[in-house]
Amino acid sequence: MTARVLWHEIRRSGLPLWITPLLLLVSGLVFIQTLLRTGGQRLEWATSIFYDMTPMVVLASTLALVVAAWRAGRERRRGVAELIESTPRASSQRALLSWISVAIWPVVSCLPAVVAFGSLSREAVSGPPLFGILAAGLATVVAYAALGFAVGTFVPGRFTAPVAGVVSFVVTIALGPRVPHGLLSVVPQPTYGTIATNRSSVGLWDRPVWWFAPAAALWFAALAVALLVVATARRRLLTIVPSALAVLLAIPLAQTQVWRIDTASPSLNCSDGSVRVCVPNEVGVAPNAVATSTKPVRTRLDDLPTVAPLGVVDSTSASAYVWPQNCRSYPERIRCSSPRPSTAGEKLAERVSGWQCSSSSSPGTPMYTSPAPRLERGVRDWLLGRTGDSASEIARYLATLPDNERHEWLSRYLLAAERCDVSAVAGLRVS
Amino acid sequence: MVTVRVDGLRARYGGKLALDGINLRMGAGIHGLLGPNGAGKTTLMRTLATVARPSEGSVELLGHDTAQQDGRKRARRRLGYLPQTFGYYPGFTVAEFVEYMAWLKEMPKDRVPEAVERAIERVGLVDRAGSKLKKLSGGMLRRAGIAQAIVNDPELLLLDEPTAGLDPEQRVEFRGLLRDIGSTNTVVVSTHLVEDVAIACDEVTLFDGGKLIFRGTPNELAELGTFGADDARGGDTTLERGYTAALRAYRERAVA
Repeated sequence: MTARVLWHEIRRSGLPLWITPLLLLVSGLVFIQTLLRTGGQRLEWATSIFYDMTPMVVLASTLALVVAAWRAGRERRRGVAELIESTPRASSQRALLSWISVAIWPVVSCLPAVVAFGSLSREAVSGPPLFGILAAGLATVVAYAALGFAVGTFVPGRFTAPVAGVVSFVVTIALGPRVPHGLLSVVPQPTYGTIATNRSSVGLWDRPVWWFAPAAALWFAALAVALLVVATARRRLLTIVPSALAVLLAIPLAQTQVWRIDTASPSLNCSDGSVRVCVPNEVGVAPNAVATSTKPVRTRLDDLPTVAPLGVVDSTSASAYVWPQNCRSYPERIRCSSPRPSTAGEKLAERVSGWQCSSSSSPGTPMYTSPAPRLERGVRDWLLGRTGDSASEIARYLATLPDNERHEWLSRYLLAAERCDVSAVAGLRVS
Repeated sequence: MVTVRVDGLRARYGGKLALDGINLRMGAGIHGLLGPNGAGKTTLMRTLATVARPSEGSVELLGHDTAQQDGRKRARRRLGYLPQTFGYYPGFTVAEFVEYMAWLKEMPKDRVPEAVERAIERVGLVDRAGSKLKKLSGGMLRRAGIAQAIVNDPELLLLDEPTAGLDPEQRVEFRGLLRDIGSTNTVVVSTHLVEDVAIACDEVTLFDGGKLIFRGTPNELAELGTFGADDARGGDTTLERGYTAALRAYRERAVA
């Protein structure tokens, strides 16, 4: 019976008409962000979740606040209050039904963000997906709906809902970024930062402590309950104190610096086999796929003296390769190239053939300038097996050399590239 | 059996004393409340509907003291109420709104579908059960309001100006419905239409200035007007003349 009445409330609330534009808006924002991140660019999980949650939390929460405030004043606006007052149903049950019927739509409007987050789970880097943060974001929306309901109950006028919506939006947009560790940071918002390690291209990213997402979700849920109690209690003044305590619990939650260095992100995940290919956890792809992709390049590198750029990881380092992951840190984001395991071979060749000069950026990055571009391209093409007619002259030359001469040629080049010694390759024959 | 027991009731409306020392007993049957504007009829209806709280005195409905929360809740389950201003949710259909009210009245869920159907049928809105309330005319809305009031087969039915907006044919049908319900239950009808009282009510109670000034059958009220039959200012029917005579007599006594 209650379910049927709830269904009537949901269907007849008029909210589907409101929700459709919001659904399109949130979907658009999320998917535009998602599409912009493709094309070889990857983001760390914390950044991905931030982009997803910004439209979700700001728009959906504001909508939740507005519609709940509007709904809460419905009985008085429509003159139904007297009729309903004459019935035995507890006002808390009535209010809960009414609140659920409006809170459900903003939550539905978050679904595109959830879908986008799921689709991004194949693309993002730095540890496992932060689904808990997403749950906390949904709890935020629900709590805003409860806040709107409480506001609408106390001030049931026609202007309450729009005014509350504008105030909420302005506060969230204007004050949110200015209070990074204040009360508002209870809303899950990542901070950014990387710490360079001794291994090139491997970074440490911030991640929330494990309990942050469930604690934030629980806090918002508790806040929602407290606000609903305030809205429906017969003696409202008595509910103010426990509600204020619930709100104040946010302060210790927000002050504990929940975003911390993720020390697990650079640890290696290695493939099977006599030659192991290891991928940092933060890359988030299967090492076996990378091993397959890089096998042709690694076969050509057999017996060559320099594998140091690939990473020396432990006592069995002679047979261990670390997939070169090129990530760059920007003020507000981290971008990593080579997102797909299928391109790992190409990236490995690029990395091996590139010059490790301290004055230059790393090979494969936009700012990198090779001191010997013809040689570098030739070595890279040969490593990738591109020795046909369209290949570079040097690659074709290397393909014609006897094994021992090619080994000597490549050893000389790779040592020079690793030491950034251009003079060492000055005498190399190229035809 | 007495279903409404009111003792020494005093109630305020908008800071003004609207009911002053009312004592009342009602049992099964149709009871009409008559009186000029501001006489206290609506305040009494709101008090009987447990919406307004008395300043003094006691109200017992269906054996439950409405001053107690539990008694109020028990009484509410067994009463139906149509306020003077019937508020509604315009997006709901007639059936949905009546079902919503059945839920508010805490009816057993297995009884609800049949009760909703029956209530809508009794007010003659079967063909508009699926129409949204905002699409209905004033008369139809009033009938929808009556449907929600009777959905729980109330033992005490309170109707404040129920015939406002109904056309003559609908009023005739409505009186039939009242008689049907009033044969076993208590129906209290507040109205300005003396004609409705004359035809439908078993008992009439007249108020003026918050005081109960007459209580009896419609015939007894009509008899009060037989002495001024030639005075056209007293009304066109005997009941109207009786109504006017009772008011004048009370006011003269009050002045004296």
